[in-house]
Amino acid sequence: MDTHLRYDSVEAFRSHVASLFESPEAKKRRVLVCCGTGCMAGGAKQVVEAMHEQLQAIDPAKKAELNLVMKRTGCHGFCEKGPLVVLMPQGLFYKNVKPKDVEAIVQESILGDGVIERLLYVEPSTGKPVHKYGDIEFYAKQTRVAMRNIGLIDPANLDDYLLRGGYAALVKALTTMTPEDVMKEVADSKLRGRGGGGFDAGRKWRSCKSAPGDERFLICNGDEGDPGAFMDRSIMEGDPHGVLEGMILGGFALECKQGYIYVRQEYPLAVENLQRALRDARARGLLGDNILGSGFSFDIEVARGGGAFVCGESSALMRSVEGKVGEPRAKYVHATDKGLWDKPTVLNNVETWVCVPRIIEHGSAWFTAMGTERSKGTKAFALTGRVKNTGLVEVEMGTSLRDIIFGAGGGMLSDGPRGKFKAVQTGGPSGGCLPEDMLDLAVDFDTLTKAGSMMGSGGMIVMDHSTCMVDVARYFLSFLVDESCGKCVPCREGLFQMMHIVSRICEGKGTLEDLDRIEDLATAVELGSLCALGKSGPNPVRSTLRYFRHEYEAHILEKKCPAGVCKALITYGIDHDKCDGCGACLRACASSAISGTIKKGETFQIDLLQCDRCGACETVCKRGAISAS
Amino acid sequence: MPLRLVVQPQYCIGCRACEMACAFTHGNKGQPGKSRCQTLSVAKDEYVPMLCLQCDHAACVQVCPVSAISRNEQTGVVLVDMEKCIQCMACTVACPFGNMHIDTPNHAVVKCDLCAGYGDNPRCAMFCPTKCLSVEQV
Amino acid sequence: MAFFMTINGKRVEANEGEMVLAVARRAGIPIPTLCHHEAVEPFGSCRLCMVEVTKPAWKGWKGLMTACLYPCAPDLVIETDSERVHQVRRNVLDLLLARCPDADVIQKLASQYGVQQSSFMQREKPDKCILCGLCVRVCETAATSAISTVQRGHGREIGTPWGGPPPDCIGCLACAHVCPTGHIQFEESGSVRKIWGREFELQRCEKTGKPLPITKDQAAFLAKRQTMNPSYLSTSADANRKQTAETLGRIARWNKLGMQQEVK
Repeated sequence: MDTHLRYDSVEAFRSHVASLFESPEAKKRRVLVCCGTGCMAGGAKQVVEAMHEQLQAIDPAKKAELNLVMKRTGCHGFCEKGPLVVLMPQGLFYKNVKPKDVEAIVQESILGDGVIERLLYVEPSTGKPVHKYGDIEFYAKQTRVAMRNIGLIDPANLDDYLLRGGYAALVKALTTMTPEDVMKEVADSKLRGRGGGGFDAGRKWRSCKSAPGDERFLICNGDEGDPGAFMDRSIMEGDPHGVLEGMILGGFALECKQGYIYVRQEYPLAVENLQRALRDARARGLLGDNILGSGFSFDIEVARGGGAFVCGESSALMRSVEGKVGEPRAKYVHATDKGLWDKPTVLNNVETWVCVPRIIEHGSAWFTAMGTERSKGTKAFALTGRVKNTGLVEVEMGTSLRDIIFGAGGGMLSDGPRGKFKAVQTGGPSGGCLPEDMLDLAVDFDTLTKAGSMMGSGGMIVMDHSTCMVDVARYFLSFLVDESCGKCVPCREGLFQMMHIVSRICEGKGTLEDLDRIEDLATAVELGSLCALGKSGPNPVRSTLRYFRHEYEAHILEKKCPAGVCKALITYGIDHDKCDGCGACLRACASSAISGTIKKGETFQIDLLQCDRCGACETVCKRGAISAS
Repeated sequence: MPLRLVVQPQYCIGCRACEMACAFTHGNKGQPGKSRCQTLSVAKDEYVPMLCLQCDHAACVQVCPVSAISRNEQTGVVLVDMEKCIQCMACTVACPFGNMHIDTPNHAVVKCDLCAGYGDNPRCAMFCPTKCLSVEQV
Repeated sequence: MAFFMTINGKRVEANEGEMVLAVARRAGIPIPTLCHHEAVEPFGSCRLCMVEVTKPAWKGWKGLMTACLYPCAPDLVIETDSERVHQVRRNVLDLLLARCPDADVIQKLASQYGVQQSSFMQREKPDKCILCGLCVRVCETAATSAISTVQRGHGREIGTPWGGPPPDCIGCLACAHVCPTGHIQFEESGSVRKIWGREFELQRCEKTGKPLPITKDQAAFLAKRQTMNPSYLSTSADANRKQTAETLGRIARWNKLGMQQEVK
């Protein structure tokens, strides 16, 4: 990529992009190696090194003939199957690639036309291996708008983004539209915030623009604190210019000069890729003073979080950017009037911003053709839990839970009665759990809320019968108790007490009165809390009580945990018919609770008073002789 | 209409009726409170009733770190907003005339308010037998 | 700019910029508060002053807002004692009673809302701090920001730099006086005041040598911050009064001798 190039005019930009499309660069065969955080954790760095080595070793004449380039891409959203290698243009998709597989890939699939069967993805619905990226149901059933580029480009290469039509929307706005035109297009698209609040973006922008003041700010919320959610991470890592272009268009519409991207502490790769993209965009004249010679100036700075979920809340986020403690404040005065440094501010989520260039490029009618009456466009979901295909799924708004989980999701992970669908948790700690008879509900901003959950930022955790719903409620409460800023009484004290009551139920010490106490306290916490963390905090408990009350009652009245999860209520036992006396369990037990004579299976016993229910014995037993009940 | 409390110490006989009147007016439920007026003897048979001078540029107003004390330009009275007062006692030290008192049992600061809120009719003047303390309209 | 709104069915006048709490109190309508003090900006942490808010334009939708922070507006309709409001207040007080069972003000308020004993789990070593934040806020407004809230969530507490005696404290006792539960303790004997693990020398009267009710650090701080000549902060009220009385007595003597002087 040419680092000395700078566009001092729209014409210069256009002619360079045109030349890029004609260049050999555009026609190269690409070896895409996913280098998103998930694949990196799986060893993608070593795969890249091995691939580089192997490609270098190819005979120079053959190399020129192949006209290859290796691209380190961002996250494909299929992290459990990583490290991923995709060969383009044929779309050959290899999963779980190890460094030792690379030589075979090069020999068979790059130098030859072969396919390595063992590296292919097997479609759960057919049981057959799939060769092409686009044929995999996980991808085929998606409509990628916000995620259209990730996995296909090298996020460090601005030219890759340009070859995908990047910055064309910005040029369209600068040359053929006024700020008011852009505002109107976004308003007409009925784009609603994708960070969880679902507020109409056009209305928010309009309020900010009409607020009195000489200075305005816009912010991209990249805090993404919901456990299990990683849509924004993948977008920031894999398509940073997409975010930038959206924000520059926002700056143009709002006539503001400065934007901030707030990235949570735990996303260093996203910060790195965003910083590089900012540097490259500035160098090319696409950001900063006098963008493309148009007279419009706008710049963006990255601000890092300190590691607090509460800083995803917009007023706490703004305090954090200001260098203060991330505590929310009363929102009776809106951020669009007094936000960052008490100036009118627009805050939107990463996914919202990345939709903007698409809307400007294709027009609002294209966007409103997708989705439902009140929820237009698409939404990215992080589908995790007990499904076959965990990863990022982007579908049109209005798609049902069933279609997401059993379509792109590939259905439940395990067979048998324990593997059957039990519940899906949507919306992170702010959302709730919905049971099987809710599976046909449409996923959009409003439908799930009526059922007691919410779409939220897009987290979707699928649970089967090995999950205890009381334990799930306890988990989310303990998360919120940890992350609460502590300023207001209902959230700080109320969620803490709720967590204790639910924990006691998990320990078999609960009473039926506890359930009434929870309901009353939950209402008070919802009504009384200062910010959304507290207000929505009771949702997981409330929804599990609503749909899975029988499970709470089993814990209370029968002192049983039907899913076999709550440690105090389960016991481990050794089946002497299966035990062969190998002693693996004895060695694994950290509490010295197992005794027995080696090779004499019938002598092995678990002392339930010593046993701390860690389950290590069950895990190491090769005969399946140990189980919890 | 601003009031002015006129003090002519040459007429003071040290009877302390002013102190009693003040204490009962500002007291709680008929029990005496802390008097805002204090009569000092400066020589044999010579007395001076000491109470707030309602200064134009008051030291107490200046020193208060929470701006709880302010001068009402309409009535000429310097008043302490008891809801704002944080009881730091700085005003009791700053007043160059010693007219800000500490009401120890209630841990509050008290000063002459020309009976504002009690009928705007300074009781000390009403009860003074020699008209040492008298009221005039400005 | 004045306008009208309704509180509990009563028509009241309000001004631009006023909060609902001030207007309600002015109209004699009681609303309980714990973290509110006129000397500092409202904070909204105790949630006791919650009220039902609606407007004709909201077509029947009602929200619960903290009165201390909710700005008055024309045609606002406020209800201070609805069932929902009481549900929040009752639970907040129940939770605070669990946290601080020995705090008198909490016991009193809680029993007003039907809570004699907390229904929740108590701390192992409960103290009286309800984390209203008033001490921190008043120290920031009226003194040196010597103390601050530290930690997050349930571990939140009022702390000092590195947990030690706060180096910036001037011993003014503002924190102790605004604390609603009396949690902040201090000691005074002779000319020494002790608070937050620090000892302060009380300012001494230049004339009488007796200790004044402010510390030396406090006097220095006030002289600088309130732009006052330090001589204003070096003599006691008694000494000042005596000296002034003597001067006024002298003037009175002259008046007795026929010279007219008017003392305002």
